[in-house]
Amino acid sequence: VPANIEELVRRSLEARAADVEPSPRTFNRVQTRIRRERTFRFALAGVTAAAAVLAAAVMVPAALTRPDVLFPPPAEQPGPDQAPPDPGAPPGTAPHCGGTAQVAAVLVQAGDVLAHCVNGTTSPVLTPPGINRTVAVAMEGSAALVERGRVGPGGDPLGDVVIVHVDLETGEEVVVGGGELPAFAPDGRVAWVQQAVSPARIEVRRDPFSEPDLEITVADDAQVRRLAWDTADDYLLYETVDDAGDSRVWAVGLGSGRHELLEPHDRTYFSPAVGPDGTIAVLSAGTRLELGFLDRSMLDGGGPAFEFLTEVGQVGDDHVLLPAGYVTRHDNRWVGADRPSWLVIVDGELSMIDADGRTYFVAADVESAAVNPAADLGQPRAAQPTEPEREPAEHEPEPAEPAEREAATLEPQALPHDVEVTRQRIHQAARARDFDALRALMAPEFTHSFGGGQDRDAAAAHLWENPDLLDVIAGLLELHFGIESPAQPDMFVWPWVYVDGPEALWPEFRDRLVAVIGEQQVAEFEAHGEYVGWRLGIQRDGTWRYFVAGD
Amino acid sequence: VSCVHEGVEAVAVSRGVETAGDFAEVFAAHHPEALRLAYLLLGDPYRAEDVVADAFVKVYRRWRRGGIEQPRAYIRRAVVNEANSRFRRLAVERREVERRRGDDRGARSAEDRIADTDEVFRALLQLPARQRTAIVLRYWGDLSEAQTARVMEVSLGTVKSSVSRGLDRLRSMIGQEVV
Repeated sequence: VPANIEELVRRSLEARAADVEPSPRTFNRVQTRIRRERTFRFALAGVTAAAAVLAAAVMVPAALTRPDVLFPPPAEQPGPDQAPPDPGAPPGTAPHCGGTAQVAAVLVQAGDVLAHCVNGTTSPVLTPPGINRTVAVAMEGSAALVERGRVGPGGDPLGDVVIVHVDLETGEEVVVGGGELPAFAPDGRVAWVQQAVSPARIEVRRDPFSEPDLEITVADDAQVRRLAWDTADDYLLYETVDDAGDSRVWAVGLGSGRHELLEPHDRTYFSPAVGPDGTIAVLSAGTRLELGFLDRSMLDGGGPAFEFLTEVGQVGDDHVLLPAGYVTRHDNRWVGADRPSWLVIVDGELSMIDADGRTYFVAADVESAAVNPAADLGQPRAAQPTEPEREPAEHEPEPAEPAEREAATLEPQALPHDVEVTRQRIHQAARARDFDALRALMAPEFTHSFGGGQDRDAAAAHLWENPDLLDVIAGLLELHFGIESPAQPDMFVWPWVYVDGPEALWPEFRDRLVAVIGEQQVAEFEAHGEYVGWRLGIQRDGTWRYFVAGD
Repeated sequence: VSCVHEGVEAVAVSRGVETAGDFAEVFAAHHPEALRLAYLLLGDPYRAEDVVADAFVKVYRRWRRGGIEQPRAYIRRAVVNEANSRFRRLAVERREVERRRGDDRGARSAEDRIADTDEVFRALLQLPARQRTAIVLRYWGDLSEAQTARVMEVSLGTVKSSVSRGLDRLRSMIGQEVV
């Protein structure tokens, strides 16, 4: 009898693995699923294409006019109304992240530009008067480009918009030209848009201080709303919106100059974002966030422009999507991740969504954001994250412990405002044993386990009969939360492990969960991997939806 | 395997899938290992086949875009990812099945239990998903800790702690005689 557990496990696994034989029918199942997927796509494309052709013929014949590329472009001189470069600006006003840590994200929040550092500190970047809008940050985190509307001495807008280069090490600012929507490429190239001219044009430069290398003229009657670099394939993606409010995403090959609509006959995409591995995320008409790849054959004029890969999230069509690279956020720190992430802004609220569709709330009142996926934010990142296995470097350091906790939800104060208000009210009412207040906070169709219905009167009555549950409610709301993103709208759930699973039951928080729901429920959760204990859900608009337990 | 190839070729011709023959070779070469990995992770041969089929659909998408440099590793990771997505749903079902079925084998000596690989496997399936995956990849897949971490997309430290905790729990479940 082997007395070594490892040997026993090895023998058991080998014995059981030998018991199972592959079915010859499995490949047919694979083929069938591939066909079904294709059939669905082609059918959808056919229906959409037919509708698009009809609409185009009747309504918008000029809307699909391909833009032109002017190459080489005429030299562009700064206009007289543009602020001159100011290389002598006094340094020292920018953050230094404690002198050692790197910048991880630069946000325009409530009009101010803030640098969020890897070590969790946050500092203002700029203080001169101006209306700061879109921001871009260089890959290494040393510089940012900020779109700023200049204002006069009284604070009134002057009507011109400039691109300001900000050295994040010294705080030095230089106005590098007029324009909007700055975008840094990972290789240092930059692009921004001249919207004041008609038609609008996108300027591409080797660096922020050089003359334009390339000008891309966009379609008439269209405004550019977003730029995204795909340096892996040397494309520049841009989104246009026309007078009718219709949005389209174009991809232009910077080498060939060819423009293509991004899969125009399949679905409408907008707000493109490109991760450093070339993974492209787009929002599609409706509420889906899709990941995919540009097909190189596009440059030859054939094949789909965009290869659907997977659907990773549920977001609204009023969202702005930004690439965040291989970083994620935990407890106000930005840490490395193995897979690309994206930032999503809606109604000023900034969230991060990862390649698994998990969403993390980051900040409120945000106008724009950019993240630099620097090389040493946390752990090594691969050039091809979708490849399953990468051999580690010879002296690869063991990743820091927080990396495994990246599924963590955020502290309560990071909740959206409406959710936080409701959380506090429920918590106070539960602690005060105020049953009337609790009933008033429940949604009309409140779901509760005790009594098994959707009646808030019955729920309040049962709480009155089981007052110990008030301690559970209050205790849960003092814990971390999770976000059920597929729910519409997003549902914020306490405790976090209901959403994030046993992997997120960190040792230091286990005791706190035990204090609320008891050791038995926690142990059962650990054993079976599914949290079925007491949980409480508040939806994004602040409506308290449920307090339930069980499967 | 020959049956698989025949079926694949027929489908490839009838559907005009341009390079399905190559993909069929990839499938045939890695299907058995993928299936066994899925089975050890899920404990159910039918669900394992289903997971493997879904995993190979994703592999196909990737493969069609230009091939896969390390198909064995890629498929292994695809299977683990697919299995992970089902763990949590299966955990509830499995608990209910176990509760209803119970253990009808009567009293057994420690030696019987230790010698019984079913007992070990049954205990393994009771482990949290991450511990189970780490143990299967380490002791059946013969992967290093670093390779296991890559497949599971977790840190090296997580693999070490998952394996260690998993083995501790297995010891407690199948008897103190095992060290």
